[in-house]
Amino acid sequence: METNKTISIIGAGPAGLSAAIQLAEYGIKSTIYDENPKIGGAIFKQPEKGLKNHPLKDETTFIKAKKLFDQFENHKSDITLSMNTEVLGVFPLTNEIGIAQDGVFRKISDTSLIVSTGCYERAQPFPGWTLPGIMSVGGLQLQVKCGTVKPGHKAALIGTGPLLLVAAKQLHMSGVDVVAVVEAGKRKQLVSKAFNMIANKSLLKEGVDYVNYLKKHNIPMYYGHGVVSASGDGQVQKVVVAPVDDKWYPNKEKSFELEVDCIGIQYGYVPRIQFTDLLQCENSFDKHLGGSFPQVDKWQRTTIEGVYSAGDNSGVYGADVAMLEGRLAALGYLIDTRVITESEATQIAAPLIKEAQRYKKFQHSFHDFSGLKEGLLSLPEEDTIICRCENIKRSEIDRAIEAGVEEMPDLKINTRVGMGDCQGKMCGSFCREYLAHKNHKKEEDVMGLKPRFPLAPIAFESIVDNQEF
Amino acid sequence: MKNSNKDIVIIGGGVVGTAIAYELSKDKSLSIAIVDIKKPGNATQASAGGLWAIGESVGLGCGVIFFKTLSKQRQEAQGGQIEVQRPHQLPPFFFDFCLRSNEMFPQLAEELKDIGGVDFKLEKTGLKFMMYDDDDKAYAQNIYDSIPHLKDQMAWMDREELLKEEPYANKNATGALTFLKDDQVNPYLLMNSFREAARVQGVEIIHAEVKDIVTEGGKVVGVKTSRGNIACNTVINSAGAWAKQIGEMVDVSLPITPVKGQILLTEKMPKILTSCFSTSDCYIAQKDNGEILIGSTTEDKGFDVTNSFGQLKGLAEGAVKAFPILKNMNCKRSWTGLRPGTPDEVPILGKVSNVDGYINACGHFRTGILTSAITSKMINDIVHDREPELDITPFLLNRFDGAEVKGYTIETV
Ligand SMILES: Cc1cc2nc3c(=O)[nH]c(=O)nc-3n(C[C@H](O)[C@H](O)[C@H](O)COP(=O)(O)OP(=O)(O)OC[C@H]3O[C@@H](n4cnc5c(N)ncnc54)[C@H](O)[C@@H]3O)c2cc1C
Repeated sequence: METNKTISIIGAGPAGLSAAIQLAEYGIKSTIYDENPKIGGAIFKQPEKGLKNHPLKDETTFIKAKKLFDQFENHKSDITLSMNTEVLGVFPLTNEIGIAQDGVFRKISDTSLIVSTGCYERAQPFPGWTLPGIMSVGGLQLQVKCGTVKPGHKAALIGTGPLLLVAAKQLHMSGVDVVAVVEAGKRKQLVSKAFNMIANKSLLKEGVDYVNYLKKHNIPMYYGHGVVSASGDGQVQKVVVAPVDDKWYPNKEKSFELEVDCIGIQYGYVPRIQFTDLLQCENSFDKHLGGSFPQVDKWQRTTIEGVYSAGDNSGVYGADVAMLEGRLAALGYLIDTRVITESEATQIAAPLIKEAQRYKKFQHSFHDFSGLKEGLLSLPEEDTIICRCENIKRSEIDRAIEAGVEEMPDLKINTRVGMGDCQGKMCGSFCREYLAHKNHKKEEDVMGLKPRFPLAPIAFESIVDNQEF
Repeated sequence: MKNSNKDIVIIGGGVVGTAIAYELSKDKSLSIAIVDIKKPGNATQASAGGLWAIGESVGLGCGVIFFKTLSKQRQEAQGGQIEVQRPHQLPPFFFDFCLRSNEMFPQLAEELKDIGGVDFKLEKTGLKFMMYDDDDKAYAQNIYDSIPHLKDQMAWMDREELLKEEPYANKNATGALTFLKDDQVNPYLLMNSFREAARVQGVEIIHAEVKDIVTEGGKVVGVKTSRGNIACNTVINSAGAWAKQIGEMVDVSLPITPVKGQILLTEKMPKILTSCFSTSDCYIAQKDNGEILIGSTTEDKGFDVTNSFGQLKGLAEGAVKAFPILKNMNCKRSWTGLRPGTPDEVPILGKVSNVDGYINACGHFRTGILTSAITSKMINDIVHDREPELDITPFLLNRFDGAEVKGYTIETV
């Protein structure tokens, strides 16, 4: 590999920052590009008015974030930040990357890449899910983390996974009345894996602390329950939940209502792979880790030379693993540019890999409990909107499937699903699962949507008046 | 799919294959299958959906940039000597082919909606060639004078008339030549409407890749696919830019190469264009959902379907020049399609001498949306051993016999 290339890091979350720090430790300068105004990514989102007087300042996530930011500060002189910058795409024939910085188009060329774009929350359609007040759990968290707006007064957190607990605590600490945490996973499945969780005592303790916090503040937690529908007049007012069976089909006869003015929903994550897809990286598939994501070797190298992938975009394991992967990717780059030898890198990496394994093992123990199950596909009714950009209802998707549609690109052409501004980031995952289920295929055998340049809309002005374009 | 038995297998389910399937499905005695897998860059999904019968025949629309590329090549060949830009026109039989096809759309729209339930959004827009200077005017005049028999389908507009009809057009444009019947459709809905109507009438749609065509004693007896074998006595090659590979399966050598075209799309906008436009830089069409489509390049890059900076910028500049309001709008998406290019820009239709039961329906280059309708009629006639309504001779593969076949950038225009 040529060594005169620069190294660009896409995404200033835990993985991207860790990669930059690791590089800086070897005196290698890097540039980080991120669409947000501040570093931290989604999970380490920084409060608008600083951390000092923030109600969450002692919460675990914030403590971890602060540690990473401090390391970053120490190496600031080697790291260039390009914030408010969206990566729009890549032009493989000329090996150039298109970005928009504050809306102005620019190109980057001759660069290696560490892609650390993170993940999205998987959108789960159900009757009423488009009502104002219904958000992703991450969306709710961002509001309390920013500390600017209070999302509501009476909140329910519904879905699966540990973030429900974290969000419940964060909302409660911010003064929101949390009326329920509704977890689809069954408690017995969790208990059966308790032994594996001991592999990571600190995480286990973190989890137990969250559960205890809910108990202490009388926040009801329903295991083995899921959302059925939501309703309200211009704003969510009620949500119906019900116990679910082993495949997460709700038992509607035993359903009950909760009165709320906001809901956080989270049924899984989706790796954000549009950029690596445009780079033509090959993907692998693991539904427990979010679906499709680029295939990597132990140094986070993708199948495209000079492109590394680290963090949730290469399989969703959360911030702790992302930080370790970021460092591994940086080590990979250092090996490939002959700054260090592979055996040196292996020594440095050994404790990182071991730690990552502990986290991963811990997470694997949640896979049975929290792994998405087919009952979720039964939630939307015929007239429930699935694709919000193009207003496509489930019935339209059913009709296309009846006409023989099996792949996402075909579904797009037949229904306009994924043709909107978001290019299917919202509904893409659900639709692919749904296609697979209806056609009795494996999800990995259903072709996904193909992302297109520009990944975010760009003004014509910035294209035509641009010397670089 | 288990092994099965059909009379006819249509290889490739783009607009051409589905149109043929629909036409053939009117004969209830035939059992028909389409075998199709959507390859990246398949032309129908990428297309602009213009029914620009005259426009395309005289080198506007998709042809504009093609023409520019050609004339640049010629200029370079002649040592940079500037020549008068003369429109690049296709032969008269091709005009007839396009015009006849165009006439069929209003009826098709109703028919296909009735049978299969899909509306392909036929819009009566016309196509305007927007002129900026004397060169453009001379170019347009040349077109006008060369097709006197079509005068009633054309109209001149001066600047005032143009701006009255199209208030967002460039205020410095000198006028326009309108092709009154060159309308537009939604190309992928057109394909869907053919396919759905065909399906309702009994055509089986098989989602698979054709791997081989089996012959016995020079006669087609079946097709091998990625999902099983199909016995049949007729195959129709409508595999678009991939038709050459299909031909090779039966030793039919087709001079078809992929011709790359890139397109830009705006966000949804209120109706700002009442007509489709071609300038000497690009074409611009607002679709029924409000998105404005700006096309398109013609490039010789093999099966590459990536987008590139310079080309997209060229399209954007052309569009902003024609409609300055676009400058403040957002570009939402870009993509690339592969046209099935032939050396003389004319499709390859009909039987071949060396294989019994093999029929060509390919090489539709930049007008396959428009000419899908007439193609389906002519292929239907051939299948039924009837004389097609237009002479098939100039479309037959044997027109290339003995000729040295080059890529699509022929120098002989
Ligand atoms: C950018 C662009 C703009 C255009 N604009 C216009 C326009 O405005 N008006 C107009 O009339 N025309 C236009 N065209 C041209 C038009 O799109 C094409 O002529 C037309 O779509 C060709 O249709 P087709 O069915 O032959 O090919 P395709 O649509 O490419 O269909 C061929 C199908 O065969 C499949 N296939 C190939 N090999 C195999 C195999 N081995 N097994 C199974 N399936 C296979 C392919 O994947 C594909 O689905 C445009 C084209 C482009 C690229």
